[in-house]
Amino acid sequence: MGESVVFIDNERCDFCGTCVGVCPADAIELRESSIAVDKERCTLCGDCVDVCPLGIPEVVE
Amino acid sequence: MKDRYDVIVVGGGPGGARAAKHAAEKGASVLLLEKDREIGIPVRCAEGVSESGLRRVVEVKDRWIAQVIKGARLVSPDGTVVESYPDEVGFILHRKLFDYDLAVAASQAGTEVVTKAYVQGLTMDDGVVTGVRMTHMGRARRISGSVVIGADGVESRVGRWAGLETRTPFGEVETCVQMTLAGIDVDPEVVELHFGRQIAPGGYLWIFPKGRRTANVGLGISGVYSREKKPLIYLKEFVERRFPGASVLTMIAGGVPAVPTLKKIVTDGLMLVGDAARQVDPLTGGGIVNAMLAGRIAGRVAAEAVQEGDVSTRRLSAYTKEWSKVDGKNNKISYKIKKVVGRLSDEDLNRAARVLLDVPPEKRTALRVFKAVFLRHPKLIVEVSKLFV
Repeated sequence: MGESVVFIDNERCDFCGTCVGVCPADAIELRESSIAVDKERCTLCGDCVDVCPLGIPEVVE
Repeated sequence: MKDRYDVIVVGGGPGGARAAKHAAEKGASVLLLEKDREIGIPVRCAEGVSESGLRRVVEVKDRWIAQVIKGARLVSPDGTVVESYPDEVGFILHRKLFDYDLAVAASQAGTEVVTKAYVQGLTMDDGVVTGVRMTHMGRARRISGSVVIGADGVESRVGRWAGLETRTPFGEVETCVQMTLAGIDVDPEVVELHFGRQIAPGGYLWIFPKGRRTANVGLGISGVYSREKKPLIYLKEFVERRFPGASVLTMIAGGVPAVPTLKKIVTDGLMLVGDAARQVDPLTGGGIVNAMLAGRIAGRVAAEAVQEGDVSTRRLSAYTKEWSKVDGKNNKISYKIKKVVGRLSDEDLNRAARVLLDVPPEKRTALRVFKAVFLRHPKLIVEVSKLFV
């Protein structure tokens, strides 16, 4: 069993930042055209997955 | 870029640009930082604003106006159409030009504007914010600022870094997607708003014309519903039905923090403005005018505080007080109405639409809508009465 992480595909993301505003762990780094989840901070709560207008973030192993 | 400024504004949208302009006009040295390469791009907005609201905050330039709006067509879940032609005119803006000109105005007032400037943290001294940590052109920098103004949008992190509670619960976010369509046929002076569980649950769909052949067509749904079905899917379904064969000139995603303004929007050496402070109207999702009103107050207070050498929470709270005088009450009522409206069923909305058809178009105000729904819906009267106590 691998470790679960939230993966945000930079090829499909619109970089709108909606997930950043809801993340309870302040774990999402958004720049002009890149986004990354800090897996040390991420608690895998799934709020970013729920709120994304496009359905980009996913929990993967 | 220098190593220190009186005021550092993070975020180059309308709130940030106004804060910068007004602080600079009061004599402060001001740095405005924008993470994207160009002010105003990408647009993350439906671009609608009321004429009276806009004139409250700025002298309006013709080049900002993509379309003058004279009426609204409200469409209920069963397709009942209610037209409304209030006294008030609205505008659909060219936000690219609007934001650009506001940044130019800030610059002309003496602000130094820097783009592609990514702020990644604050510098603090004994709990007081003293500046920002940032990267610009591949170079890490620390810039000192007596006051930092966070105007960094729905994705704001500046407040959190200073210890303010700014997170919006996902169920309170309106999660949105919008396509700018071309090759369509719309009535250019009328916006359309569509309601219903199948169209945009916990929100609404908008058609904001920009001329006769193009429009911003988008929707926002409550974060509560976006787990099961994404806004993008709702929008694609609508567009395929209503505008088959349309060209999609651009598509954007975005979120509106549809909550009351944060209780704490200042702390030692720091202020929050606009979406970062959650100053958007929670019912309509409109945020431009509020952000600019707040930016004006925040910029002035910041400059005065710096001149007096007191950037404490207590001094900066003059901004909080002034803001609650200007819009605090509207914001709270709007939020309460949003909560009640969110509980309306499709049947309630259909009923409201039918009642409204009996009212002359110029008298179809929000108040009438409420009467129409609630006078026939006793269980909601209790909820509504809470709005006015």
